[in-house]
Amino acid sequence: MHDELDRILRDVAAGSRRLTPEECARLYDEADLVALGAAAHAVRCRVNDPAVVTYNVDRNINYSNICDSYCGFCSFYAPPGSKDGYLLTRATIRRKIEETKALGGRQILMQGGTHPEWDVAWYADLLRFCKSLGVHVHALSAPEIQAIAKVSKLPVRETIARLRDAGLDSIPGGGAEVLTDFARNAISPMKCTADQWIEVHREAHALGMRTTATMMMGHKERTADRVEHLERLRSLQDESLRNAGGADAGFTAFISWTFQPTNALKRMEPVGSAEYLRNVAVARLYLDNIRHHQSSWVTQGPKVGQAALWFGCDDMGSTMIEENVVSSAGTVFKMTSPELCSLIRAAGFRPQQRNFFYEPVEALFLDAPDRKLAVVGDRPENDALPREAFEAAGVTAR
Amino acid sequence: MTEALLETAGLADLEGPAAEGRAFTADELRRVVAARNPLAAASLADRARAAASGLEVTWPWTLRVRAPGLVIPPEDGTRVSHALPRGADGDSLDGIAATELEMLGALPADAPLGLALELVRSVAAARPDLPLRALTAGEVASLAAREGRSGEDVLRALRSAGLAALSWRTGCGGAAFDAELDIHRAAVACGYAVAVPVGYAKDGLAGFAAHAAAAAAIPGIASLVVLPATSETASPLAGTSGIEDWIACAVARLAVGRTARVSADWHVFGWKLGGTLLSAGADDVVAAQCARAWAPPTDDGPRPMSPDRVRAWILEARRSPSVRDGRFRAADLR
Repeated sequence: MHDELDRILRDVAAGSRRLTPEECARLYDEADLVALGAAAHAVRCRVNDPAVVTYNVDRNINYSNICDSYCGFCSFYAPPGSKDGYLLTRATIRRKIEETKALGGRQILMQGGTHPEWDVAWYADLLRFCKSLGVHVHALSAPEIQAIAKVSKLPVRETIARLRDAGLDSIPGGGAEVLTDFARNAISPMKCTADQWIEVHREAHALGMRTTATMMMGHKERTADRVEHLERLRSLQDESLRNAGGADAGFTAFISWTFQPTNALKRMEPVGSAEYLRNVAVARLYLDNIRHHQSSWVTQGPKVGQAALWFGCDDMGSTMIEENVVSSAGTVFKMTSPELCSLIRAAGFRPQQRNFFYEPVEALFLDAPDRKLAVVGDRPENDALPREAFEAAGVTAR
Repeated sequence: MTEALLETAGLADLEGPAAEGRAFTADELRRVVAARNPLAAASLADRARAAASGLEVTWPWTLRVRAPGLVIPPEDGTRVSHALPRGADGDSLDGIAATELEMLGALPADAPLGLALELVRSVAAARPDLPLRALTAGEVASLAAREGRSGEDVLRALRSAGLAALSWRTGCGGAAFDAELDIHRAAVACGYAVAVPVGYAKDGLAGFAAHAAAAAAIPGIASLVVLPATSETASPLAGTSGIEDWIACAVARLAVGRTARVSADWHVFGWKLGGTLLSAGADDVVAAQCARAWAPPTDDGPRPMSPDRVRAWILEARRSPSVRDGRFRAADLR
């Protein structure tokens, strides 16, 4: 039995063949964790510079928390009409972007919720504003884009095209959770379906845009759900690469993290980091057409984040100057650029700052090591107010 | 798959001895450290762990008690602990399901043996059915020095008062290590269940390998406790790395071979990293605390682990959980 798994791992590590879904399920359920790590690390070293681990400096800007998807696992959202709902002013967004640039960041990750009224013109204005400040705008997850298309009564491809023309550079993989009907019905039945998530990324790829792929694991999904999730991502990536005629295309990276049960669905027991590392390694082996895999130190802590670099990850993610969503569920890990670099070095690799496309960029260490710039959960009140605009929208300005 | 890994790391010749569960020499342990490859180290350690204990991972359910007058360092502090009952009005410890009793806190630097004996007697009397773990080897060595008695003498007195096992705290097993080893050696002779803490700091694994080999050479010990100098919440600029923690755990396993358990204290490592160490040679988990009401697990630092979660995470590591008491004997949870 284990000789057979070992043979599978050796073949896949060498790149001589692909994993089948059935083999993938067996690796999830039966494989030795260290052997999985060894195979995943061998693949990572074959497709990326074995000495280098990349990282990004960016900021998660959550322009609003208003959302009508009502996901059972989310501790961040406020329903439309709730007094807890907020919308960031342009002045606040400008300040956050300028701070990001001052800290050496070249990108923002901007996501909110699914809003029942905001249409493509509203979002185009927002994107145009962000883009005018000179950063890469990685924004709007698939569920948001589906909601925008629905409100705007536009096809998904045209919606994405208009958002792109307004300044959208790339699309984050958020909202994937686990891409099966079983898992989505269990935790987020009102969010877009697995097919709709795939549709957004397929259309974006067809338009020549790059996106990322994610997985939030460790809730109610079964092994079969994880395998189906990976299979859907791999199939789409095959298709996107084929359509691009050999050019780099489709997903730039895969990022997985664990469900944080602290606030929402809090009676669920969280999965441990052994299961996280198992998922990271299996994903690296299965997703042989997605070149970069990120470690999630935000949910796992710095030490498991380092361990993941030996289980198939070649990227330490982002310093996350600001993060509001996972931190709403109680995760409190924080990091500055020098800390992130120190962490990478201590794990045995050379840190290299990158941009969204994983191209190396010059690192700008403007943040002092002893200064905690990663203000997790920061939601500063904003005094540059067009308050009436927010009152008209029935939300609180920040 | 792991054969190729060991070949690349230059450790292939150690695979056989590891699989036999033979205790590695200090030189062999230093080679494992020098390879700086956590997967290769863990691969060897996992073979030794399989030879030592198969799939079984033991864990105690610990009733943690605060005794009056003791200073509780932050790494020991937790809301999930109980005050020592005092008189009829005190909070009773009766009826709380547990398999071992742990007295939290450090003795005052000038404490006489009499105070230590009284504390041990009082705490042990609160739950005579549970083996009591308290005081570090360093504290026993200090008591012996202050009283002008041998370590063995002091240990015998404490044993008579009800102490079953010595404890550990971050910082143990580092400085004055030889003196601590003498105490552990004497503790085995006095009938204690002996878990020897071996500490290490950032960039200190070479020294750790030598200490682990020395500790493992004490006949009759029950466990080596892997103890990083800083806890999970320390800045990654100052503390040990997750990679060092993996290698340290593996080195501890390879040092003891099949002769003892390797304990990972999840209060120290944090439960996330702690869970992964079951794949790096650990086969004993110290994590579960008794409580009547769980504190919200939102604080930095030590957090409570319910028995259900400990069991689940051991199973998640594809191991088989087995409850033990403070003397490393199989126990039942009632």
